[in-house]
Amino acid sequence: MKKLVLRLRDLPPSAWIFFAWLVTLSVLPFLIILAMSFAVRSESGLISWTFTLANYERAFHLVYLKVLAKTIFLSLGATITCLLVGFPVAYYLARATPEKRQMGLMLLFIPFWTNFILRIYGIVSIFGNHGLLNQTIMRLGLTDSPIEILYTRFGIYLGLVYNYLPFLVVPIFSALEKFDLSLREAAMDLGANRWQTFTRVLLPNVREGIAIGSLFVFIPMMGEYVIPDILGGAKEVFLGRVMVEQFFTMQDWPFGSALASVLSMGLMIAVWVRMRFEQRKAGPTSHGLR
Amino acid sequence: MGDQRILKVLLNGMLAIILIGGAGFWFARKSNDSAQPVLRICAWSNYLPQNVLTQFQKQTGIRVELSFVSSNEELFAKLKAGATGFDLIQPSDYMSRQMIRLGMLRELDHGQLKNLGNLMEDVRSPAWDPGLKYTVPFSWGTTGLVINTAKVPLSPGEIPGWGMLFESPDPKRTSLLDDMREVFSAMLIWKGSTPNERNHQKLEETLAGLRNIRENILMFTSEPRQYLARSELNISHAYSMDALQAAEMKPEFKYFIPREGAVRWADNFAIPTSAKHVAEAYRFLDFILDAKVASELALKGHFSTQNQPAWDLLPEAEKNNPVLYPDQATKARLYYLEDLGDLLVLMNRMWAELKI
Repeated sequence: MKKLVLRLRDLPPSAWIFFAWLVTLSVLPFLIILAMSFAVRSESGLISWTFTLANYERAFHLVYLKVLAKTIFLSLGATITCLLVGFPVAYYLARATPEKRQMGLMLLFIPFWTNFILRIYGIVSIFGNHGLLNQTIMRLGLTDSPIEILYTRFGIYLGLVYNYLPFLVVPIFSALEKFDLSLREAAMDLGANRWQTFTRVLLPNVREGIAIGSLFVFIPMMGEYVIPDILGGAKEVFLGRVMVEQFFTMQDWPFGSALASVLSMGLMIAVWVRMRFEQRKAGPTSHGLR
Repeated sequence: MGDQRILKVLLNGMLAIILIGGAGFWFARKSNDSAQPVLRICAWSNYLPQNVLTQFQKQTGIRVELSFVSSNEELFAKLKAGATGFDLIQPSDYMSRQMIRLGMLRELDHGQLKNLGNLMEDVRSPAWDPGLKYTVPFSWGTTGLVINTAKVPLSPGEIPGWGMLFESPDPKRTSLLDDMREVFSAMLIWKGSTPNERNHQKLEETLAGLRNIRENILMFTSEPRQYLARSELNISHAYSMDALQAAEMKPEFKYFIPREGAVRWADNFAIPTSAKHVAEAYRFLDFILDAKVASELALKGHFSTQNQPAWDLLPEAEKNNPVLYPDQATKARLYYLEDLGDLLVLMNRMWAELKI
């Protein structure tokens, strides 16, 4: 304890602000949620502070495990798609001239000056059954009935990828920017083909950026509920939606809290394991050739 | 050490900002309060048009500040989280019961409501508030079907049933409400049961039925109006108020109470115990109980009034609208949703399972 106090004192003021921010807006709310997850929903829709594990028992019911599995499946798929689309973009930006780079980054982020909900409805007006795309191809006589893109699983994918792509491009971009291109030339000179250069030289050096970027998009995707609602027609269950429903329509805060705690703790454990794994691997070879 | 000085300056600065801001806010509120009597109402959207509020202000000098909620549960959560700014709230049937049970509503002094006698006989003692000790019934409506009759032709005089949703003639243009109780109720009524079915076996069958049709419908949505307007939907499960407002824009949209029966809902006004402007709240309650005002509100809001002289003032077309003022036989097939208690845990799980 004494040690902790001393260490806090050593922190610069800027860190203090961050620390206060973290405690009041992250740690404290999480602890409240955690406490509520062990409470009982009283008949009247309030919380009664009696200790119970029943909420967790419910949360681990097969149905909710399936919900979790489906959410992971969809989010993981969208994250991988983001990677496949985002990596070349990041690569191009990292190699481009400063002017082009600035232009590219700006183009990537301009849509984010618009409100999130508006952007989602923008997608509806383009890809909807009466949207721009379907009207165009129907006018051209390519098809009689509109192609169903929205209100399907694909609609959710599209929305997730569109909305989260920039958050994945930026960390990869900054990793690629630091990458020394002469290493690539050296590998080629030493007889590696393009594929080998890519997998053995380039990828290991930007692994950290890829990992951080993937987490940046995967974690919020798991809690997403607006995109599945509007673009998926609310036909596919998402864990985020189930949680929100517990709070705002079912009046079951303790159960909602239990679901939220399971998700947060699961993600924390996953991140922690990864960090341990990275630490063990980190060594003198981490920045060289493998 | 330099860091510490910066920190001190920063903290003092922040403290000063908070103090000045707080003082400013306090003065602003105070001057606001003393200048003019206010009434803070938390209501559903589309219920209280601005001209009626202006009329109230002209009559009484009381300025109304209106805010909205989108669900009963949201209203409940706001009050429970300590929102004390509301003087008048608008809970529905089941939420009125819950709030009364929890002592969240102020007992009404009927002596201050001289227009209370305007209420129809059959709403003087609703199940959720016998004797109207806490609530003033305001409106009621149903949850049924809205159909674009230009795209889905019906034979003249035909009253469609819930099969319109579950065996839809236009499946990819059909939507269900994104509401657990309403969706289960629709299927239960279609299968010949009632919305308050408690039999597990029956509920399992209902879930199976819903799972079968999930892929046939286009979407679950509680806001079907925008999709109807663009013809993305031609058949929707909808609340009567929303549906009739859509029908007002386009006459080919028709709202029906399905022939098998439907869910009935009612919205009431009540004064929360935390209200600060109680006298003003009474004046407003009495104002909307006035025959002329109640009649205008019902006509504009497309709901069924509970006010006898207000009904008398309505145009004949409105009085004879069978979806607003159904005959006794239809009324007998309308059900209020009851609190299902522990069964909600099961239903909640089924709702998730439906969409897996």
